[in-house]
Amino acid sequence: MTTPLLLAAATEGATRVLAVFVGIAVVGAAATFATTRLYARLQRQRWVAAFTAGGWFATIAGVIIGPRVLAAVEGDALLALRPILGIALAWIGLIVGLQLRRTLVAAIPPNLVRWLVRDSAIAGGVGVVVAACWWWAGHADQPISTIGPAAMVIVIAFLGWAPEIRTLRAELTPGTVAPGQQVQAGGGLGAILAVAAVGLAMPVLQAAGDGSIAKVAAIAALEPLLAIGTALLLGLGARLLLRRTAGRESEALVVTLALVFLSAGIANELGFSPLVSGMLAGAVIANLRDPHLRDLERGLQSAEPGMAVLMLLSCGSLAASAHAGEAIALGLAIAGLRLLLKPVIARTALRRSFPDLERHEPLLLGPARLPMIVIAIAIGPVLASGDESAATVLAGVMIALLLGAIAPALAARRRASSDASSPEVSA
Amino acid sequence: MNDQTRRTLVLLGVLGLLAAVVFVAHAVEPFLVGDLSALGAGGDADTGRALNGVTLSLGFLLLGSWLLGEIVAPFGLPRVVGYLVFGVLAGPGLLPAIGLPAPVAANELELLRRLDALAISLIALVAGGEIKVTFLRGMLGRIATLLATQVGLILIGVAVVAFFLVLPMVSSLSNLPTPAAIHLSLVAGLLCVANSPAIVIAMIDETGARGPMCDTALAATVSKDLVLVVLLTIMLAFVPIAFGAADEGGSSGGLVGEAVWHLAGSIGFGAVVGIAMHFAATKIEKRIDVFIVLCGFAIAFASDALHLAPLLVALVAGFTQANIWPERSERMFHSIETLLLPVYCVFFATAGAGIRIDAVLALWPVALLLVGSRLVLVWAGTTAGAKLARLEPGIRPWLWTAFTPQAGVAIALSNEVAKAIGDRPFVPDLAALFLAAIAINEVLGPLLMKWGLQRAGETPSTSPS
Repeated sequence: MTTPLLLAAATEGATRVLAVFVGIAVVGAAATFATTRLYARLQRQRWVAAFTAGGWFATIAGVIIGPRVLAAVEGDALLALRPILGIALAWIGLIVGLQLRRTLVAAIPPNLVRWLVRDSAIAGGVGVVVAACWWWAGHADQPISTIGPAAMVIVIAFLGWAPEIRTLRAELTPGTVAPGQQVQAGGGLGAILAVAAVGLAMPVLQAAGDGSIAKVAAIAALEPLLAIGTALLLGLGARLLLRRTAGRESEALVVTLALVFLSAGIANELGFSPLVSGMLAGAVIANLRDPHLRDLERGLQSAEPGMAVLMLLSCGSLAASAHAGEAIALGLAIAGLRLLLKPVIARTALRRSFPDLERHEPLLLGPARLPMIVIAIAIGPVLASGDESAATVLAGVMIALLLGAIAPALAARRRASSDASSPEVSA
Repeated sequence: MNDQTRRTLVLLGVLGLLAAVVFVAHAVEPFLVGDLSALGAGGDADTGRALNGVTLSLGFLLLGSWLLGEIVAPFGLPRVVGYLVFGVLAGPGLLPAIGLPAPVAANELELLRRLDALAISLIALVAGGEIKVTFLRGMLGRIATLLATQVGLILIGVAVVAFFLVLPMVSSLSNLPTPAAIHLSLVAGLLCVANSPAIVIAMIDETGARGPMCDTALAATVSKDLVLVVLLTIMLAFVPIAFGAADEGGSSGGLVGEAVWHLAGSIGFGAVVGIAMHFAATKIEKRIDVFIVLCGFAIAFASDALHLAPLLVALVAGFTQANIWPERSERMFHSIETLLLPVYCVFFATAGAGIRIDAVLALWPVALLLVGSRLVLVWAGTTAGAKLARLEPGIRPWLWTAFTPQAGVAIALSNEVAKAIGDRPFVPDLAALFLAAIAINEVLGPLLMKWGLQRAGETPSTSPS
């Protein structure tokens, strides 16, 4: 840091200073614009909303400030990103976990569960094939502890979907309200499923690198227990302290921030993902049913857009070492296969419960979109290993996420074709 | 058992549990987490371990310092002291000295120090907002008189004490050539002039004090920083002459140029940032707190890149907004105040953790002499200056207490001086002596300031209204 009154000697050239300034200006301008009334007005337009929901805005800003363009974020700054992103992952995990309230879980319709199971089995299976092809095509010589987590991200990129439906259908009709709700709820549940998959797979994959079956078994058994224990401790501790803050805003902020930092920090020390640790702590908090914890929930959720933007901004820097051609191929494969598979699975699942649903219903395209949580999951292996293949998978996932933003265009076309083929229009 | 005792016991219990969790996590980390060298730059395992552990240290320092602040507050102690003491307990100085592992390792502390500039930016934004141009217009001459008297007396008085008493007590400093001894004595004087704007702001904020003593202390502390930059530049220019090595220390012209850039650049850039922040803030509909944190990061980052002082930049930015658009900037300042508690906790706990316990233990008698003479001279200089400046009689006897705390500014000055003098054999002892004295002032200062504010009748419970 430059301490006050310190007459620091110049160590870097003017070009670097200029790059840093342009970087700050880009992020500052983007962040400021994202909080303006003008932006809020623009967001009401479907196309703009689709563009921003896909994360294009922040991702492009991240690439601009990253090592490949301005290099405003590189070297030491990139190192400093790791703890910050660990905190962001725990934060996102907490938000995901807060959805796991008992009453909400009990209200999940059985047909939605069936849909999710079928979707996970089929799409997950395709994901395993894609991951195996990717491994076989150029990564077979890498150790499993390095390549395993990256391959796991590819599989997870096929699970779940984005819960956003507003850009697919501006107005819901009486016949599409319930299916729309199922698409949204399925998106939320998919995120939980994805994080749980990380929680189970990641420690095993990391430990498997040592080749010791005993260690793999011990860690696989011990880490979930440690994660649950930590979550209980943090959730109960947060409740105890929040009761003592008596609603004072600044003290509640201290407790909230400490919960996030400790959740991420303990996960780092014990070797499990901050996402998982955060999700479990969030689940504990959601089920404690304490009025004081509602403020904490609101505080955590209010920062969700900020965390998403931080993730996307950082991706531009973290994915800089990616192999571009491989990332594009991977991104196209993920986005393309999702677009082919997911609407078909959705139609089969939804039409059983909602037989009146049109064949070209735009909502069916919703599950083709990648959920934002996959970005958070894909960041994990890059942070852990800094490996090129992990960065390539991250870049591929980013590309697939951005391509998902074309869904509204396809939805609009479907809608138009559906309108044209309906009997009233024909008549 | 009354409510207060029960509350204290509960907080102590949580603090104990937190410490236990952190110790256990550190102990099992090597078994559960494999090789961390991939995380560090160039495969460095220590950096990797620090990057892995820094988040837990951050959470530990934040929650632990807040808890200790809450525990000590009912006993009439400033919360800031709780934050500092927790930092000392958690930092790499104390526990390793008695053979126990430190919850916050030295290299994790280094990483946490990167947050200092953000904390300083946010603290200074609020401080700048507190300084009103109407107050300054009427007080400029008086503050100049106060500072001239205070700085002159402390600088010369401490230099004399250091030359005749302090330096001869440290073996490696006792046989220096006279020019070098004079120079080091003046450096000691300069370090004793410095005080901590961050602690002054935090104490005013914590006690809720309002009145002429707060306003004068804040304006004088901030103005003193400008004086210190000039004095430090002069002092560094004399290093080659004092130590008989004309080829060292860089050119005086270069140093003056840097000082001018440091001052004028910071003020100019701060004004631009203030205006830009204001216009951006008027367009923002929601989440102004996120915008403020981003601005804090931007100020810290930009100041670092341009070699400016984040404190001065943010101070001028806050001052610009509060004085040009007083009503419209109110929403922003209110949001920053909500964010300040966690900032204080981490900032002061980090400062406490950085205290060199080994230096304090080794040199405490000499450091105590330096601290004692500083306190006497701060009292004499401030009281005499306040009288000469015709400050309000009610605050004259207590104003000196606001100039006793020391922290980041003094440490930065000490480091800069040590760097300028180079790797001479006495430098480690000199740096340790300065850091030991600063550590004592860091903990003692807030206690004295709280007492002074109470005696001046500016805290809510003691004010005449």
